Amino acid sequence: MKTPRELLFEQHRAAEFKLDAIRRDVLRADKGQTSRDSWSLRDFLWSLRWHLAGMSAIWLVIIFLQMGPSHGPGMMATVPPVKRVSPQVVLASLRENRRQIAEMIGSPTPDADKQRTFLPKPRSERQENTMMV
Amino acid sequence: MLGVAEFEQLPVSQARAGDAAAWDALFRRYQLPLYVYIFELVRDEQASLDIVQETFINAARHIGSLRDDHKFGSWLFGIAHQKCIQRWRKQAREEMLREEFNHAPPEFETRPDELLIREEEEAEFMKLLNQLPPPQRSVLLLHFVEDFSLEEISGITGVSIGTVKSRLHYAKKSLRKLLEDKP
Repeated sequence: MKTPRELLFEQHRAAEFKLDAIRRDVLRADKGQTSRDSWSLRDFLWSLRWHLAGMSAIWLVIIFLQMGPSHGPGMMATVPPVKRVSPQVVLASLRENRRQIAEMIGSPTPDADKQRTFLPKPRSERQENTMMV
Repeated sequence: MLGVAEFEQLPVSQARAGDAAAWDALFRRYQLPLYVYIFELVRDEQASLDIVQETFINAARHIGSLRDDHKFGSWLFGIAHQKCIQRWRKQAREEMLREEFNHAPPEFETRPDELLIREEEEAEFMKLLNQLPPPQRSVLLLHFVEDFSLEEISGITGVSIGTVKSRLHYAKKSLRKLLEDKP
């Protein structure tokens, strides 16, 4: 005596060999499919191209707005350009400063000595020290 | 009623994770029951093997659509059942699937292993099984082969539980009549 299940299985037991082969084929094919799926990253990124482009545009706008108020071209225009001063002018300025300081503290400056030396005197007081070069 | 598969610990979660050994175990477990079910419906060996293969491929590709791991068996048979229906439709035999019974059926009165077949009745049993209309044959096979519950058979075949009860009742009645009529 058999149950219907036992009877049905017994009737088709001979097909198991073919079923084993089918099972192996499916597993092999599925393995190949899985490995192909892992290499489809490029397809995935390609499908997101419009999203990525949109996000890039948004980031560019944000960066532009961040730069605008503080470092924009308008602000740059208000900064005066640095003047180039020649060394002669600097030396003259320094010499003038030294002279003014000397006048304030009352000490004679070389220029003052020189100026005093060349003050015109009466002919009678003039010394004959003409030098021949 | 619990189905045969519900008493087993099947590696469905491992299969979901892509474990090839788990898939091998699952396919090995269901290959013969699936083949029996399909063959007894389509009555063509090559077509049955093709449907088993397509069922396995679909299962591996769409395992994500299975919500409850414990229902793997009925889910797999559901795929196979749909494949059989597609084949029937191709053969323009759809009208046979539309057979419905209007009588209120009695409850599920016997378990599949309560119906025992003597050796001399085996050939007659198989012959009668093949003579049953496909809708009755389908529910009877699901009941015999995997001991699926009425709810599971309803889910697999896509008909109401009442219709499953009705089909099963009349299929069993026909079988019993044959076995009782034999001298």
